Amino acid sequence: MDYLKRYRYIWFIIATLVLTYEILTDGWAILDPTLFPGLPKVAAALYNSKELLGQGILSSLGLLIPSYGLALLIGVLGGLVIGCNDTLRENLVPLFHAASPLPPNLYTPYAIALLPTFWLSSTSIIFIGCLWPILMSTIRGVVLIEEKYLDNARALGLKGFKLLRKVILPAALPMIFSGAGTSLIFSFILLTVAEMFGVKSGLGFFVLYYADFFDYARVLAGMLVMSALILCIMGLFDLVQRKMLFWTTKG
Amino acid sequence: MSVYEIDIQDVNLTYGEQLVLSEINLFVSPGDFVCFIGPSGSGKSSLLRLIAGLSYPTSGRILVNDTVVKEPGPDRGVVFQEYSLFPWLSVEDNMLLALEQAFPGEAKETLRKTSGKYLTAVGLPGIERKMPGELSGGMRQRVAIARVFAINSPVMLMDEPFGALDAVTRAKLQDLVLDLWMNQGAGRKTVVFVTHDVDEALLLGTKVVVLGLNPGTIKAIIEVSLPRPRIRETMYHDAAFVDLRNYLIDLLNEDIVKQLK
Repeated sequence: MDYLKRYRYIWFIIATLVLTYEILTDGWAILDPTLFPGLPKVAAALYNSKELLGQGILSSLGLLIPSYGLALLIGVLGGLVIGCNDTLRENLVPLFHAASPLPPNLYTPYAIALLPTFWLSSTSIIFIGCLWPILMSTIRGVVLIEEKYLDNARALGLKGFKLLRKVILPAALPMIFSGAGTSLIFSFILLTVAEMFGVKSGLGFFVLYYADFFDYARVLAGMLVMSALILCIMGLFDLVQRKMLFWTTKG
Repeated sequence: MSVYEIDIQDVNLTYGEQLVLSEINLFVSPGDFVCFIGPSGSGKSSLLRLIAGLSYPTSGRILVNDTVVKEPGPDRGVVFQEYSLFPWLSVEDNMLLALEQAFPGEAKETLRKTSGKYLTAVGLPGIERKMPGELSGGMRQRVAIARVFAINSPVMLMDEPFGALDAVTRAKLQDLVLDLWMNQGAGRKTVVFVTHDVDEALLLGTKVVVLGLNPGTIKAIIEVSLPRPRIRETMYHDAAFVDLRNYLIDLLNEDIVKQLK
């Protein structure tokens, strides 16, 4: 009940949007019926395609999890190493600044040409897009560590791996999470790009496929499922973040 | 239990073009409680950092127990004004992190007991599971003091440890540090304590080192032979104390007047 009360405006906004949409489509028929099918049609499409959409969720997660996971691992490890080493950082960060704004879908032809399977090409596109924000925010997180924490660590005689694990990583963690959150959202945008080629299922694939047939009831159904999936994953992400950064909220 | 001496020889320190410390020579006997006092910019904290090994003199050298200081070491425990505890570690994990460094190879259970013993000694029994963010500034500094006494380094360096605390908390913590230090008897640590508070220096110190401005130099080294235990209420009316206090304030005022001109 508490949950309902806290999010009461969200339900209100959703209800208003649904009602408005229904009035504009089935109600007064103001919007084009091909591009904007009424909600009963969308619901029917959702129900009829439930198996395909379920498969799509699994297939999309199969692309997302390995590519995002690898980006997280390499981004954080690389960021810690580069952040701690002044020479590396000063020489590499300008290159990263030059490379990171390029839209990852530009790499598609190269990924397809160079990598042995289409699945690998798709994952590599998501991986590259997710890597930059994590890598850059980890480097920034290390650079911005309060000098006094480092003095304190040095005074205690902390060095090497222990210094990294006990001081540098936790101190940089708030920034790392900020980059990881940006990447997570970005990964869903790239998912649709990555599913344009190489795969025969997935939520992005589903939406693109039925858009080609002007079946916008299914397109909207696919988009709704995608949004719901993003909402669940972001909720999970927030939970992990709150657990790991619990010390930032007190005091 | 050994006690260490500190020998500062012809130390100069420059930051870029600016001379921060000029020709510092100072000998601190084992078991001394030396207070560095001086206006902001006199280099008192910089000198403490040099002893700690957190920075390195431009010329000259510092010996601690006849060994040249090159980097921080377990023989020198440091308490900072703030940021002494890592906010992502619980009080006990903060204590253990320091204890593991000071006593490598010691069983965790033993270190846990040591941590508990010193937390009790500073008046904070049973706060092991608390996070630093849940404690007041005064409590955090108590933990920092418990930690520096627990690691049992023969030299303790304190950089304005009570500078950010209110007057009552500061007085309580001054008494605490004095108690812990006096309790060590003959094995008493050598303490270097940076402050800008004349009363604090006279309450705590066996010696007061006055630093002057532009560049940082030692203006005077004063033996404080006021009897111990020093009780605030009676000490403030003691003629010897009042004379010393006025003398120190005059020395510090010279620099303030010079700065205003």
